Amino acid sequence: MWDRSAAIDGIRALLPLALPAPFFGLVLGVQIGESPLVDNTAGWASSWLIFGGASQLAAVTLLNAGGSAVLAVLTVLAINSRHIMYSAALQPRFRDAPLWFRYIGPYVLVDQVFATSDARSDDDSMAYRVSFYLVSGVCWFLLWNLSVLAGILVGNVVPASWSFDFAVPLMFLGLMVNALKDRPGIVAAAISGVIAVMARDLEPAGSGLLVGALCGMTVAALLDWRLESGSDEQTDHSLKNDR
Amino acid sequence: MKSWLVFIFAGIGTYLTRASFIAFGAGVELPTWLQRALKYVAPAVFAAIALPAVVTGGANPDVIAVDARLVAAAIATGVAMWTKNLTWVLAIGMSTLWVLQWIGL
Repeated sequence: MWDRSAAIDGIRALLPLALPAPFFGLVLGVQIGESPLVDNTAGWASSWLIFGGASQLAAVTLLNAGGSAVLAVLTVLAINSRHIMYSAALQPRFRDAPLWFRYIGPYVLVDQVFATSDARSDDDSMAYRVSFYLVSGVCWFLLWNLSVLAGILVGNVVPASWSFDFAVPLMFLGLMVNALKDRPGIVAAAISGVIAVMARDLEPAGSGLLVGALCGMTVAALLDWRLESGSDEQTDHSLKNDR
Repeated sequence: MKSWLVFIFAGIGTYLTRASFIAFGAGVELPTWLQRALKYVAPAVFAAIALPAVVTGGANPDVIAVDARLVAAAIATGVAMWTKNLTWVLAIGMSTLWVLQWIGL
């Protein structure tokens, strides 16, 4: 179950995505370091317990505002519910993977690790799939935990006026464009993005994303199905014409 | 203590979302209609993450205005379509933002 070239490919695919991570990790670390109600050890532990930047930031912010524990947990789960879609999308890719991998691997299923594995070909061998995924996931895990730790320990080294927080949406824009492979994909992104913008204040945080993405995927699936049955009809037509 | 409990339970819950289909649903053959929709998880979810963040990151999150972030994001999207290279997207997107903020847009 080990493919060295897959491991190298995994790191190479992840590298450009990793550029904004230290900045986001620093922002979160600074937030934890400055928060009166969340102690530094617990705040850092959220990085390896939850391992999801946006949801960690939301939880820390909520706890600092004196929000209830139940609300904080529910907010994290609402923001992270998108991982169910990632898990479902990768299910066929890892169905025949070893049992240990199917239980340990999902621990590191973050947006970026999903993006790189989802973009890979179905022709990859199982050893390639597992090695590529695990190397990306473990690298991301280390990078993220170290970035947050640095933010807690070192504090605000990057001034907010440099707007490095903008690197995160830029990276997701790039990932979105790279994922546009056909017309239904473009429709999915457009519908999902517009609805997510309109529903951005929906509570709990993260539900706008979910509603937008589900609408976009549904319409794209219908369009994909129509296009496919449409092309079937066309081939039927040409067959008849041949006769 | 409260924050530890929150992070532990949130962590368990988050793992369950990630493991849902890969670990617990590995024996299931996903229906065709679902597989069709799942082909579009990446463009749909990434758009739903990126667009609100671009629109609401500025000075007044309640109003959608043509500000430096929106213009930089539009240019970065063009770069992404043209180069398919994330390093360029980040480099040009960030530089555009800095220039626009410097000239005061």
